[in-house]
Amino acid sequence: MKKGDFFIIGIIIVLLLIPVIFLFVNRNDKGKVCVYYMNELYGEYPLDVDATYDIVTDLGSNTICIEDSKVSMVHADCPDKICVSHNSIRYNHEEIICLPHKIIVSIESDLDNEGEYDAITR
Amino acid sequence: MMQSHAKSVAYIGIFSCFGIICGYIEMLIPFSIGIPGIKLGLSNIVSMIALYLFGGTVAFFVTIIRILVSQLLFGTIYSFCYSICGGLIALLGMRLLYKRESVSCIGTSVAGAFLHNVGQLFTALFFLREIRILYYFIILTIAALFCGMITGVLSLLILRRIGYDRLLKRGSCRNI
Repeated sequence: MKKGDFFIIGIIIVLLLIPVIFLFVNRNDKGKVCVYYMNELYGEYPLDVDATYDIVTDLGSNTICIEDSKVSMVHADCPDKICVSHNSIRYNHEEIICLPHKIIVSIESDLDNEGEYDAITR
Repeated sequence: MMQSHAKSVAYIGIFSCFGIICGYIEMLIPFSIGIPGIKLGLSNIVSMIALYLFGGTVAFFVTIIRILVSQLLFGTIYSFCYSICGGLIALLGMRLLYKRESVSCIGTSVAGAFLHNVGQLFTALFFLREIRILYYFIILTIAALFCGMITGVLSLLILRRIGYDRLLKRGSCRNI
């Protein structure tokens, strides 16, 4: 290990810590489940009501299950099923993404203010 | 260091095969921790060794061919886009870094792993156009640090075993 190696690892850790601190300061588990399809809001569901929802679109169907304040993807007919094997999410900013169906299931909190994001690319 | 064109082509072929096999071995190792997209990055070892032994052009072709073939064999069109973006950006970074005296194999490998994630992040931004993917990037970068160090140590050991130190003393290779 040479001096330059530590330099590189140091830069990467610094780049890493900035959003980490930002995230943990803003973390809470009072939120609602928002489902986005093709970047537009498809539906909003409360996190405290246990329920199962089907998301049926032109690209396919996914099924999310809200249970015990956690959301998980229980079924999807996409070819890779990465979204189904994802762990359940409960804190705000966490997301389950189904890329072939262009679906993002995210937890959003009313306690966040909109000024948090400097820009959202469209 | 390469004297003839035919030699280059032969070595590119051999190293591409190594890369494809590394990709296959990675599939066999169950490295899943509930988060998609985390790999051990063993095929970066092949790109790095090709880079140190033969230089940027050979490493470039090795990277392109191994990504193309392993994605044709084992991947989807999405994973191909992620791999090719990540792999090329990683190779670019490693090519800029490997000649420096202060950076060893481990540093270039960590930088390569990190840049691989950066390339994949840009591809994901291109497909999904959501800046919140940045939060997923945090876990990927931590994994890149660890896996980059592992692959860096492995390439260092491999280069030492094949007698790279002796070539170094003759002055015809980069230091590792």
